[in-house]
Amino acid sequence: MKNADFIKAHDRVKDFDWKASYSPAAARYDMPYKIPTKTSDPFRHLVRDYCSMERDKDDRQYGAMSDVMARAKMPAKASERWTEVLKIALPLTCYAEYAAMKCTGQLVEAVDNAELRQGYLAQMIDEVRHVNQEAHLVRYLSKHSVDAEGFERGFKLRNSNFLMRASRACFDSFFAGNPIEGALNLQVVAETAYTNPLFVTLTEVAAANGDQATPTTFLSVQSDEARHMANGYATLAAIASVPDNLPRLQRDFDSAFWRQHTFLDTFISAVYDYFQENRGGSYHEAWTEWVDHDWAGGYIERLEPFGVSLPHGWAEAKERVKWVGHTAMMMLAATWPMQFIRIDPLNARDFDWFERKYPGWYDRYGKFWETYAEMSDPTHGQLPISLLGSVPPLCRVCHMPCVFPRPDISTLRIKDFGGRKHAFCSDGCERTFAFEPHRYAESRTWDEHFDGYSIAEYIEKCGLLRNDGKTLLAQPHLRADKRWTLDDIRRQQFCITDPLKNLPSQGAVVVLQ
Amino acid sequence: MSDTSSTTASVAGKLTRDFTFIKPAARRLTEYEALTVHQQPDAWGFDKVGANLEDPEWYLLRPDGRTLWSQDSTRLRHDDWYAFRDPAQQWQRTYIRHQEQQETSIARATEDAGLDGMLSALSPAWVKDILCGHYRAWSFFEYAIFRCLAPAQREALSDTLGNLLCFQSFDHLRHAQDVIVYLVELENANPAVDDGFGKQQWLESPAYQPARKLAEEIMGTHDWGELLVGLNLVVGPLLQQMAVSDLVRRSALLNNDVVASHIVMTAERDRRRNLAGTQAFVRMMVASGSPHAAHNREVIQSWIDDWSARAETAAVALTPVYEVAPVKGLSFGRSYAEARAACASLVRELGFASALDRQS
Repeated sequence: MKNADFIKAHDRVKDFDWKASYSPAAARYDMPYKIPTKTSDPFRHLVRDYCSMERDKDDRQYGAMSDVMARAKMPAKASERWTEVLKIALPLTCYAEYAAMKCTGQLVEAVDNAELRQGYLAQMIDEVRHVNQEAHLVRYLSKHSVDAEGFERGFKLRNSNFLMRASRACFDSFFAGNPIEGALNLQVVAETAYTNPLFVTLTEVAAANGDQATPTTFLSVQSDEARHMANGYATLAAIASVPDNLPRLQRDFDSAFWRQHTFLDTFISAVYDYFQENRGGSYHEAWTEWVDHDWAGGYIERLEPFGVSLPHGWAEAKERVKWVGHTAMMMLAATWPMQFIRIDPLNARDFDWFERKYPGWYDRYGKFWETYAEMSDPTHGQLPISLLGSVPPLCRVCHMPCVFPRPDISTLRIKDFGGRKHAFCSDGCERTFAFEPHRYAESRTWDEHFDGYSIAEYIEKCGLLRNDGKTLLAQPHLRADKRWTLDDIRRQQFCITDPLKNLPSQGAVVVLQ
Repeated sequence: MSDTSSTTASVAGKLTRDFTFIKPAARRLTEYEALTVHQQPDAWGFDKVGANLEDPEWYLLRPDGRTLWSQDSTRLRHDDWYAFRDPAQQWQRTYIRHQEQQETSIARATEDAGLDGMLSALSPAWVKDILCGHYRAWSFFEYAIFRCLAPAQREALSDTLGNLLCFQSFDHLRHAQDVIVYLVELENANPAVDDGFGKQQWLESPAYQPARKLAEEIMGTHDWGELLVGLNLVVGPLLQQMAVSDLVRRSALLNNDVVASHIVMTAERDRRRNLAGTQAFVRMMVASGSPHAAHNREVIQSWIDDWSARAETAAVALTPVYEVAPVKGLSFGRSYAEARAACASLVRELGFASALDRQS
């Protein structure tokens, strides 16, 4: 098709709307924003071009994986330390894609703007693509990696693993609220700020650690994300062009940023920094480039003339991001028997790298990791959870432990609402709750669910044993010997207790030691 | 029901290298199942955890306090929506590959017809009155279906159903755009093209007002189960058959328009796929042994009755369009009778009564 014809066709496909006169539809979704019916067009593709483009990309990605990579047994040659984290990272990311697909369905319905709707439809199919790509990658690694156990059941553990539960709480925000709230969470924050660190920079770490399957998949995913970012920008610009929208917009944007920050920065930084074996850059460096400079500096600040400001809590987040990954990883390692991955102890090279990249790291986390390594032998019979002075409660909003940014400067606070105690990890989560408490107050945390279980009961209940029926799926090392069994755990007699029960309520701010 | 028992028990002693959390419909897990099933959280089944196993769990509610997904999103009832399987086993790669092949074939047919002089030779009356006046008007109907199915996939109660609706949504935007793209390319060869005529007809011509009313009602239908049944068991076989298959595809061959005929054939292939998916869905809803079968049968019958009546009204209004083509194909009477009979037959095969059985 000639370019002039393409432009003509593209103009015409944007003129499909008409004003309903026989049966105007009742609004399906709460929509507290006014959207101009004409805006800039973020998606200049016809369905025909889209299919052609996506098929080419699919052929390249799936072809490479099923052909040369499988024949060369590449997944089996990747760093085991790195491969382990994919058991949890991939199912969790997959749900983000699924939630994104739901978000775009809402946007097609609620945003009465043909230009924007075109882009949302393509994104809707893109998100199905990403779900399939990432599920395919999990299955691929399940078939080809050295220690496959865990890959085959990650999706099953979505509601019983505390980190995966926190990811649900984060990604549900893509489609639980009004469609614009979803777009802010998904397109404006998660995709525009975080997909570059996740799908671009993290793939460099993967490749450096011998994993070619993840970059092949993720870079193909990311090639769609640029269009999604354009969707987000066009949506945001459309909303910001109506002055009446601005107060609500800033409020929803603030919440969206904080919701994504509390989980994504914490999660990605733990993955990035703690599972590299062949070490390169740090998450903080990647974050500074992509989130601070590109997103905040190049993207959000350009919207300031329209009345959109950097989100509330931005300065706090900038400080938190130096520490949240280390704290999260300490929690994950401390609770390793309840995970379904093997967490490799850090070695001398790792210690040097952390101290270089995060000055002051050793004083705050070094001792924990030294002791973690010592405790990795089951014959010593000790669990690192015993190293924590107290176990923090989980946040009612983000479902992450209220221990951030660091245990010594935690911003935990407890409130009563509706006859229950609720813990919040931060001012941002407390503010989000305060806007619409009814949306969060009924949820139960992991602690509340499993209160009273022994760790052994939890492991059995959630199916966290290997195929021999006795060895734990998770291990505190990568060795083939000295693996922990259920009997080793039973000897510990450690019980899960909900710490919120014993904490003072109503306005108290507890600093954990 | 989905297998929610411990994974290890079922695979003890054997290294598991495939997903064990999905219960395959047949003996072996298919690629479609592996990449689709249980991607959507199932608060009522798969995802229940902890001591309180009977209660579904939600992390975040909607602003009005409703849960993220709701059993009330359809009047139909089922204990395990995740048991549904798309008979076409489509996942994104197979779906996009299929649509890319269809679009490539259309592009080549259009290019060849232009080079062969077939496009310039089309009669002005065919181009103006059928392609621009009718087919282009009908693209708005297709667009309405695309729109209603996008939120339907959001609300559907399993991933296998959501993906089915998602792909069908995309189908209809493709159908709508194909009309536009063909007319743009035809415009280079044939001066009779008047693209604006289609919207004018859609908005003003009495022949299209019942269809427009139906399109607006479709966009206002929030029950995703009803949309599946109404669109694929009634609107497709009756109204789409007449408006697109008979009035465009069958007439096109008589009027030397191989491209329009080919475009519609690709849409018909999609229509057959969506019909097969809906037939599988309806059979699952009324399967013997299901405690909800009687209720579902009653609901589906009411939808078939209601949608049939509305689709008939829209179909009858198309009567004058049958007189427009320069070389006339099927008469309205025969087209209507055949479509009614085919639609009634599909409905009967599923064990339902159809008002379309009676004489028109």
